[in-house]
Amino acid sequence: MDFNWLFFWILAAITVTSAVAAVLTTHIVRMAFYLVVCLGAVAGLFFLAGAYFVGAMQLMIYVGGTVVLIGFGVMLTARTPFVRMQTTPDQWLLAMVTAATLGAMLLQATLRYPKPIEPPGIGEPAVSPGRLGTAFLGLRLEAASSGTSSQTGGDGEDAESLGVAYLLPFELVSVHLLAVLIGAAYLARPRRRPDQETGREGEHAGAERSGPGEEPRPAAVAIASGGDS
Amino acid sequence: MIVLCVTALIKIFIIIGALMTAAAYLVLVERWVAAWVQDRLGPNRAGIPLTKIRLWGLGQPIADGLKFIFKEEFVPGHVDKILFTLAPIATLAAAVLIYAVFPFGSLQWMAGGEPIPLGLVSGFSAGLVFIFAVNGVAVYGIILGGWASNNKYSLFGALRGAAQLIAYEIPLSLAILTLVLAAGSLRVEDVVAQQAESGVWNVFLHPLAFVVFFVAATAEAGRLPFDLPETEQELVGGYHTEYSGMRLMMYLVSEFLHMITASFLIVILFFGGWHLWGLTGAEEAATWPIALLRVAVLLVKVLAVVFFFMLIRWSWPRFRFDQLMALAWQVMVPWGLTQLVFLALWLEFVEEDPWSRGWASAWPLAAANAALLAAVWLLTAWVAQPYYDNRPRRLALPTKATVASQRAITAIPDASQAN
Amino acid sequence: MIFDASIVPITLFILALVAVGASLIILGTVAGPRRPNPIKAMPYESGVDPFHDARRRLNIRYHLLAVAFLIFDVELLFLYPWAVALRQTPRDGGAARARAANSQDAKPVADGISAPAEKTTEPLAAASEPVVAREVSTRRASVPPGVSTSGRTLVFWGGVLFLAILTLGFVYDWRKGVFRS
Repeated sequence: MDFNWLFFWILAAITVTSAVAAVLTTHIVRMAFYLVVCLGAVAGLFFLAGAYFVGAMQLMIYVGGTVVLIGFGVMLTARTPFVRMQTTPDQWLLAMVTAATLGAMLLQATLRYPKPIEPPGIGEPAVSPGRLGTAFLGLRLEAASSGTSSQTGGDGEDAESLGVAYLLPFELVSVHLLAVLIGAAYLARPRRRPDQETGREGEHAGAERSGPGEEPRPAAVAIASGGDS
Repeated sequence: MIVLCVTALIKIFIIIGALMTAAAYLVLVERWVAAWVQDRLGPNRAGIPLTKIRLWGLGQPIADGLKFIFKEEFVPGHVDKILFTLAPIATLAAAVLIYAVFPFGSLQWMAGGEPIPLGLVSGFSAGLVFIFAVNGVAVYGIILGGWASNNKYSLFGALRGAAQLIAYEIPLSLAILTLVLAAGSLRVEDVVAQQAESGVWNVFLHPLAFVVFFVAATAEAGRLPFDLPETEQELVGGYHTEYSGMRLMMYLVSEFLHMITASFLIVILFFGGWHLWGLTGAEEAATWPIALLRVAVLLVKVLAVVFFFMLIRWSWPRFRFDQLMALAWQVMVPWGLTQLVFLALWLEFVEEDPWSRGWASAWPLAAANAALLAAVWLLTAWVAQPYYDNRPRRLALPTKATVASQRAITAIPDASQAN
Repeated sequence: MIFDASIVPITLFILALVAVGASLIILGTVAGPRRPNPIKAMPYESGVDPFHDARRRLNIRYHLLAVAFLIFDVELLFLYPWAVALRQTPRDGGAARARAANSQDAKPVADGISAPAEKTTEPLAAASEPVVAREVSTRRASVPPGVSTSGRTLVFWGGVLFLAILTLGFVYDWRKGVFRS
């Protein structure tokens, strides 16, 4: 009995089911929950393939980070009409095209390998974090040997590509992250011109102008400001 | 394979059972500690049921559990019913799942045999990252529960809770990164082994990382100075305001488990895990008595840290939300970065393996890090002098002038108006 | 196919935990009373009748904090392998490498960049019997030929530059008041 395949099928079934559920549901928060399950199962597939670090990072970044971001987005903006999402036909079309393109890419990448990639062995990482780190930093790994290349994905011919230096992309990633941080800061710009802003900021400014002793804001807004100030 | 599954199931059974019992009885201990701190008696009545034997209140957890079971399992009419049920399950599962990678040492069944690791998944090559990944899932339980409740208190509790948990995950990871840099591995066992082999615990080597980690772990556990997600006085019950019965119990238990997890992590990463000088030895594998001794040492250490957490709970007032965020982003993250860069520089330019010969070679790094902690602490205290204006700040961006004026206002509190 | 053992206990653990959680809720439902009434079903607002929907728009700064968190999370994702690589890249074939080799002797998990040594010394063995070859190669505490002092320097300064760029962004955000909630 090949239990490896059993576990693969279990995880794959969970992944596909929750992915389909995430697509079909019209409820944003439930969609986010299905997404968590889906991404968690994909992390399980990574574990199964021996890519522990990638699997854990999948959990950490996507489940712990990105979906939280979605959740925040929903919680901060959602009123009832936004929670129920109806997808229009043109959106369906666009999504289909995107998904088909991505699917074709993945299929092509999968079919390049003649046989399934074997996990390296019991409890042994396919690509250890240390290797990953040296690869990021462009340390030349003298044409990674076939012993490890069969685990990192591919046959003997592809082994040479492991020695490629990723130093520039590595640093570019940090520049990219820097750009996002600056963008976030630009979005924040908290209360520079409170008088000209609308919404709650304006209410704050009004409260400030009306002087101490008065509380013009309704109770719920007071709770809101207690929640974030 | 069958053997693997059966062993795993036995271990899972032990872990879940032990954790549930531990959580129940530590709640009792917490109430005792609270009573002791506040100079009163605490729970001392419930003993063996249907008799008059009191047993110092040891029956209290059983009574609490029965009470939870026989409460109404009530789902309010306005909630999202599916998510309302899934959220506590996800929270509980995430809280317990972390224990999969905790090392309890390993056991040499017989001489010359393979050492049997005493954890569920040992040698997990990305164990440290796994811990934080699962920790991240716990955030989702809070968001889900708070949102599904469809209640203002729950929503604010969930927002605050999620913001707090994700904010403190960064310093937590930075402190861990320091240890990863020291151990050169992501395996939890390696961090313990390094401390056991050199005999120098990480708390002495990296005190700054320890402070950052301790504060961040307390915040992640949502313990009192950081219990913003469920501030009883402001938000009723926070994200679990609408919960009752077993679902509420699952939330409360997972909260308590988070504290135990934090204690485990602190002990494993900074206090040498199962290692104790001159008592447990330092090798990876051990014979029966030594292995049991190690488990005992680990648990005693964990209980000590738990006790400390309980003392903190009754000693400190709660942070305000802006103070909480400022502490995370403006104090803990820079501290963590400082520690990380300092250690990297030290390893690169001063000594590559400072702990290779125990204290004999490790003391310069320990001394330098202690000095670094003192310097960073004093610098922070000097730069960020506290001002005690309790009002929500509605002014424009605080330029130096506004901060100064606020300080001036605070310096003479309402004296002019009183006159 | 060689089997990876770690996923089995973790999957079983997750299944067991979900089962425990579900059965606890079922137990509570069965054992507890059921007395619904319309007042109980209302949102709890300290006894006051709720006056509008709980789901309102809230301050955007929470979202910005989440963005900042995500950025730093990704940064740390890259720094974890860097930290491991820094320790496992020998500067002069010194103590760190010896320690790594020793510790790997005791455990079946081969880690680090010791693999390159295989290619130059035992290519045939490596090709036919990967696990054994890795065992052999990890016992060898010599410096792999492709790894030089400059490699270590590159690893170190690459990571430091990465950190420095992000610290720049952190300082900028700080100055702009993202972290002042």
